[in-house]
Amino acid sequence: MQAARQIFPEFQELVLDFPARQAVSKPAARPRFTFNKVFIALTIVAFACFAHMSQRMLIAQNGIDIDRLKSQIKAEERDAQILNAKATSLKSPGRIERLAGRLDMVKPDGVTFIEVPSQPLDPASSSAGLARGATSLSRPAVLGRLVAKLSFLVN
Amino acid sequence: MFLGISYRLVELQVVEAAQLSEKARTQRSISLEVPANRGDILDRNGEILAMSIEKDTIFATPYFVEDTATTAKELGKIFDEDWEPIYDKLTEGGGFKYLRRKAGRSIAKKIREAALPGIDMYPESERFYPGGTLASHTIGFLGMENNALTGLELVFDKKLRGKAGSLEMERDTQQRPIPGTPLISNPPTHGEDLILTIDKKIQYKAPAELKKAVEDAEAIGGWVIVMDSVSGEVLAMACEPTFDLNKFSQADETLFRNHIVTDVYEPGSTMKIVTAAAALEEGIYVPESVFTLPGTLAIGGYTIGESHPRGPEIFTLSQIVEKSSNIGAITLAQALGKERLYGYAEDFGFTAPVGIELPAEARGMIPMPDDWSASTLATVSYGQGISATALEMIRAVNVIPSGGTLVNPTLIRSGDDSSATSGAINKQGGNGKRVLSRKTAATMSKILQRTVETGTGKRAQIPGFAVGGKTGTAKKVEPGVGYAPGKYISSFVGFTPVEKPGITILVSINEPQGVYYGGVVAAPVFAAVGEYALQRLKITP
Repeated sequence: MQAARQIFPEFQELVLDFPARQAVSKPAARPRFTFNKVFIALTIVAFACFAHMSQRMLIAQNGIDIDRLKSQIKAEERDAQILNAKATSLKSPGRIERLAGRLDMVKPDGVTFIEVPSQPLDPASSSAGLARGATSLSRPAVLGRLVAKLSFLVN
Repeated sequence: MFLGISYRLVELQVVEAAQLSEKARTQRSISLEVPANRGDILDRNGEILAMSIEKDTIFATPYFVEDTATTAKELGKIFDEDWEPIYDKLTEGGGFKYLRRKAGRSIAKKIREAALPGIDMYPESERFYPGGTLASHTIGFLGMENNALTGLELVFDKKLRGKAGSLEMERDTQQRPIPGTPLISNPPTHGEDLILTIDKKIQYKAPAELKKAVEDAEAIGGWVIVMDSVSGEVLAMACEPTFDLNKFSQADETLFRNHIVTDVYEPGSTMKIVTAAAALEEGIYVPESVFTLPGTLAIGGYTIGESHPRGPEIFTLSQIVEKSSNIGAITLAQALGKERLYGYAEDFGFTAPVGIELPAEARGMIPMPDDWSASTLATVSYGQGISATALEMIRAVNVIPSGGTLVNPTLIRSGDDSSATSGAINKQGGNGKRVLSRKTAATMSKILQRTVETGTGKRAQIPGFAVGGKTGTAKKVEPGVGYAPGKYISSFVGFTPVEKPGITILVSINEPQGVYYGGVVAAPVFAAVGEYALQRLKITP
């Protein structure tokens, strides 16, 4: 361009005289604007993709963690089941009796039922009994209480 | 060309779209079954009688096994068994081979650590019965594939089993599900627990005492039922010999038979309760009615005598039951007539199954009155020529302590969850059909109490409690033979306390040797089990 101006000075004028505002300014401004918009859009898209990927990764990672926790829960549940089964086996009456036999333990005496006379108590002992909060009991009621008290022998 | 491409695009994107997307989904997804947990079986106090435990089933995919011999040797070490059969299994072809079903934790751990190519495992549920032999005939068991085979496990299989769910997930190239990628998820419906009327401790005590009696009498077996007199709830039910539910595959199959439910036999003298109760209910006689009974009686060409021969003797109606007189029972039956006797036998439930919640329940048989011969009236009156199951017999005798109503035995605890495992016996039941008036039932209770105090059932006495009951010694019938000589089923059926409804117990000893009377071999079991059950249930005299 420089060389052309030296050879043809009128070319410079020509160029200068040329309505430069029309030719130079408008076409240059439009591509820059479009590029900026595209750049911003691409950046947003990239960020969105990145965010999406991060989310996906996070979800996948959480999925793996959940899966691992589920496996752990299942393993713990399994252990609990086995412990429960063991506890139930240990409580088995047959096992307890076998162990008791091995330890030379003896069976408790059978329940003894005491027959209480149904006559009213003599006034002296009656008033003493009432003073302690006792009440006069019929024979079945006394026997009932005795059975209830002695029932620990079999439970 | 453009048209061709366009057509193909439309075909792929529109016409075959659904089909192709389904194909794509199946290619990248794996469907997994989520098994439902089988419900537990619990006793009336919430104690576990049957539960499920998850175990590992180890299998091989022979295509993926790299070094077969080394793998087999390694597996042999882990399983503590010879490696050659494992090698044969790995080389005999096929894509899937079971190596060990439902393996224990230690084996599964070793397999996991060994990480052998082509060897893998999956979880599988195994049924576990903590009591072993406890209530084995009642509970039943599952097969290897967790299919219910017998007992309550079979009857309530649908309730216990639940419904398996499914899970569809994306898979990786090695067919493994990718975590966190569920496409479709149908959660399983877990099985419900089953709460029984059984009391674990009484259920332990009853067969223990039965076993002693069977051994002492050198019998081939026996059975026992303990029942709440009012509600019909079965507190214990056991047959001897028995088997371990956890090792049922090693047991003889004949042991699986629940004689209480499937076997019928002649009720014998127990039937005299029905005959005497009918005579009282009809107002023909009173307990003090007097009879002069001969030592033998000739009916329909047969001569019928007593089990203990005697000469002519005077009996009251009470004494006919107390001393278990055959001639006396015939006399009562003749006064009743065949129609009325049959009617009462029917009302006492001898012709209808109990409807217990167990499979293969048999039903007793009494010929229709029209088919009775001259001697049938006589034999029916003392329990011969008819048949009943043990359940039918206990139900019939239980009419007396229940106040005259027919209560069906049951194994399943009713009520809401909070009350279901309370353990207390149900005093609200007794809504069965009325068979006898309360007055007749009370009179029969007293007669049966005297049977235990002074009659044939003395060994059934329980210190501190009044016991009512009746012995029964029935001849065994063999198909094609008739009565088998020297073979008896000796029973005692009774209830305690007499003053108020408590428990009813039936004990039968199958083919006792030597002294075979029910009052000798079966009554002591009643006393031992009854005493324990009364204390356990806190029933006062």
